Amino acid sequence: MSERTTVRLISAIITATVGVVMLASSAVAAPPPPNPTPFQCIDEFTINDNYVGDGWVGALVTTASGPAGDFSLFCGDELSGVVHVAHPQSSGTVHPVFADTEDQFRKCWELTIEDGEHFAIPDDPGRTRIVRTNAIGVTSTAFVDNRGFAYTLFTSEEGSDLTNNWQDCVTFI
Amino acid sequence: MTRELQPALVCAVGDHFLVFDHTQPVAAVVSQQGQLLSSCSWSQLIPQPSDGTVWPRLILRAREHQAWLTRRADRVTVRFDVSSDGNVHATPDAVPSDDGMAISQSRYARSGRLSSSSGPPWTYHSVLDSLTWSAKLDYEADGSDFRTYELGEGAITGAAQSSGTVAACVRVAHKRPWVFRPTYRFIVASRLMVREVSFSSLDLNSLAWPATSRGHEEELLKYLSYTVSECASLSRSGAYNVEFQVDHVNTIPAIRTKFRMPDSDMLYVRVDQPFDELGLRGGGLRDLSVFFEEDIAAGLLRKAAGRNQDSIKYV
Repeated sequence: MSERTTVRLISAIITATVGVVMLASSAVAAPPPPNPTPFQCIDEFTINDNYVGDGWVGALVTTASGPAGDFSLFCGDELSGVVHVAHPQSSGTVHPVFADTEDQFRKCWELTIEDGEHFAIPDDPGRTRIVRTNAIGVTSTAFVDNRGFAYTLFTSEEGSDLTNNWQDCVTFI
Repeated sequence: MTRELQPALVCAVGDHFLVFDHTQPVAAVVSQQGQLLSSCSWSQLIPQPSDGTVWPRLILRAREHQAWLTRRADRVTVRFDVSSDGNVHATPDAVPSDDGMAISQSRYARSGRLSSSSGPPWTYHSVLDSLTWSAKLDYEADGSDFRTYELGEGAITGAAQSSGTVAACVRVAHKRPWVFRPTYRFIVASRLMVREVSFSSLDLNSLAWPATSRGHEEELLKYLSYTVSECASLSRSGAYNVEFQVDHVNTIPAIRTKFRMPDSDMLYVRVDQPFDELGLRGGGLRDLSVFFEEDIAAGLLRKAAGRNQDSIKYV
């Protein structure tokens, strides 16, 4: 993990902790908005003890279409979606998303689905790996399944451990 | 072999804490001083679960002297009535309304803030540093009166507050290699003391559901398509001598994937256990959405190599 990523990850944990202290005492459980932003998903997972019951797992962030089909990115939980990608408490490798990068993250996911090359995985429920490499060599990889469901998204590039380069993912076509 | 309570969820009931095992139908009542007051099992009251893939598995609701534990896969619910002297009685019930309930659900890690009308608010933290979680509890009453208790390695999976006392379940595990059979600790803390509660007097063997190997072979065969895909992914990443083996096929299978990388002398090993102690699918790496390609891109092998100097690295 690069120093930049480490610093931002620590920053995210501090932000989440401060968010808990600031928001939890006044938090009133409520259903998610129609299309929550990625950072809203992450914040809600942190503070809402009834995250599942309030319907946040299935809250739709965005949908994209590509050669492999239509795929939806949900808020998700430890095991899938935005929370799996970006929350330190997920089961996944953490690829942080911040308030100032959430639009790039969402756009990166859409570009990956729309333009990526897809590779079927002989797995139940029929998962597919979708890979897009842009003009400057930033590769974004998504894992989705035949239900149109997204598990994860991350970036990779030669010589770097940075896996949340959402900005370069979308800036260069 | 004794199977102790592995506390994963907790709620406040009256002046006590009611703490639940992560898998087995067993709960215990613990006082604010950390004394084990009573326990109960509902293994004979409801059917054994048949689906482990629904996540989170359990939802816990609590209000005053009662709590309800609901299995999300089939909505089977048990109500717990706790008396003022700490005895607990379990009864099958319907899923209650959320109104006025303190709600929590199964998690691998959580942070949050608790509150009480008669004590300072506690906060609990599961902090991820690289691949390792650590847990701590703290409160600050008025700027000068504060406490911080570092609980060591692990992540908090459940916490509750009763008056000025906090209780926390700590899952002692790191993120990679994933720990399939973690131990859990149960901590009770107040302004004046912090105590780890022992459940050694409570042997779950007579209270628990038995393991079942029903459908293992068929499910395992399906599951192995994921393992093969992961091996292919390793090869794409430059790994060589990639192989896997399956041990304990007839009990709780363990899949060991072994490989080497060109820039290292290490033998890397990843262990995957798709079935839990009840024989249910749901907690394997495939179900946790863990992918070699993603982990390696994020520097997993380098981080694992930093842990110790052995020639075999578990990742």
